[in-house]
Amino acid sequence: MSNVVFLLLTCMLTSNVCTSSALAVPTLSAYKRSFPYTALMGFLFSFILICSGVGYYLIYSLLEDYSVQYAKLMIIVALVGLFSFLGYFIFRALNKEAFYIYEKSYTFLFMFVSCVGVLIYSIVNQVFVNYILSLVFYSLGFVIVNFIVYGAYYKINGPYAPNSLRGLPLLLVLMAIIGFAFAGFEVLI
Amino acid sequence: MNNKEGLNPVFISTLAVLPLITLAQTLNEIVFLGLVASLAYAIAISFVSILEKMTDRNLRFFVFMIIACAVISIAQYIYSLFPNKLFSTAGEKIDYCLVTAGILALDTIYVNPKTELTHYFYRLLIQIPLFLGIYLLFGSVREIMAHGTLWNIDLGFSGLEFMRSTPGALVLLAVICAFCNSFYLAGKHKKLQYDMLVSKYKMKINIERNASRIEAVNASERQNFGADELIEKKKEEEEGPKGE
Repeated sequence: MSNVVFLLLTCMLTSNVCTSSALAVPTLSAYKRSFPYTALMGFLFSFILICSGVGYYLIYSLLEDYSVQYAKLMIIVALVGLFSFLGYFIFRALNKEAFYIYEKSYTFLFMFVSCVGVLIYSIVNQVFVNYILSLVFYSLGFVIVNFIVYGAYYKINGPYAPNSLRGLPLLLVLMAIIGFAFAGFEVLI
Repeated sequence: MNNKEGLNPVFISTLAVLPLITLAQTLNEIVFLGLVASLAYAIAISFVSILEKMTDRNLRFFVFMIIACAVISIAQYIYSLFPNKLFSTAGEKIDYCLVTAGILALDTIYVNPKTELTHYFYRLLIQIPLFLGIYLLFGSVREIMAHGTLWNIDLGFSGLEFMRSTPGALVLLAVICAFCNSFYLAGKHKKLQYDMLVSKYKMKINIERNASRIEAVNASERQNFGADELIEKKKEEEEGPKGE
């Protein structure tokens, strides 16, 4: 099996950041009522994750000889913060309405913590191409789950759901079901 | 997640538990991780509360993350000096507590900013016990169902394979979240009923008071408090020049 296919199967499906480690689930709980907004969210998540991942890899490889294990977390937070603010300003310049929803649904915070979690979760001690590919597949995995949640938004939050299950509990059950489906790909690895 | 009344605190605590569900399998590790996350959150939010009127909320959150990151790095360093076998798995993954602390900060930084010191401590007093309660409940039930033990004490059965996996943990957390949410919604409903009852009685008292005022006016000797006399006077003044 080629390296790319292996990374695709593991990072995108079996070790999906939403269903396997549940680190990106907070971002999923933000606003999901319009298709363009959901697509923009997926794009923004990928932008922050990949850009800060590249920066993190370069800084980590530069400082590897100086025992930076305690500074690791600080580097991640600083980079994710930097690119989150960059994404924030780009978003504000692109579309005012979407930016209003972005601000109203606390997406800045959710995306920030999710990206920090995924970067902590990723293994930095590997070849640069593999690391970048793994981040790209993590992002793609997030985008796939994001659109599945968009499709199920009205079932999760609508009047069909019982009162106490509406919202997050049903989202978690949905994550468990998707996780089961993705775990089936372990047979191929 | 959010509605007109604000955020649901049960949902915020459940979201805060999410990053830690795959890290620890046993209750002792869960207690350790929960306490580190709560400590980082409490210290960082105390520092950030000083900047309440100085910065915007996104920048304040970034500062919060930097401070929480420093606290967790210190905790990691201390743990490396005194490693404990009881917390071996969780101890190596203290980093993830940063994600938890970040989610817990949502309510204090974004939704209900600190206006008074008492309000700020009140938020802390609600949030941290709620988060720890949900996490400990989840940890206890998961350890019993997955391994058949509680705090490493054997309960006599081997446990379910399904509960050791992430989907199993997610389903269990969903059940716990729904359970806590039903109590929260019931409490909210009762509070709403109480508020409506209070407003109803206030209206009733006001109606009675207004009725008594109207009666007092009607019973007064001077009709309309002399308003009729004033109107007549004005009419006379207006008619006077015309007649001349």
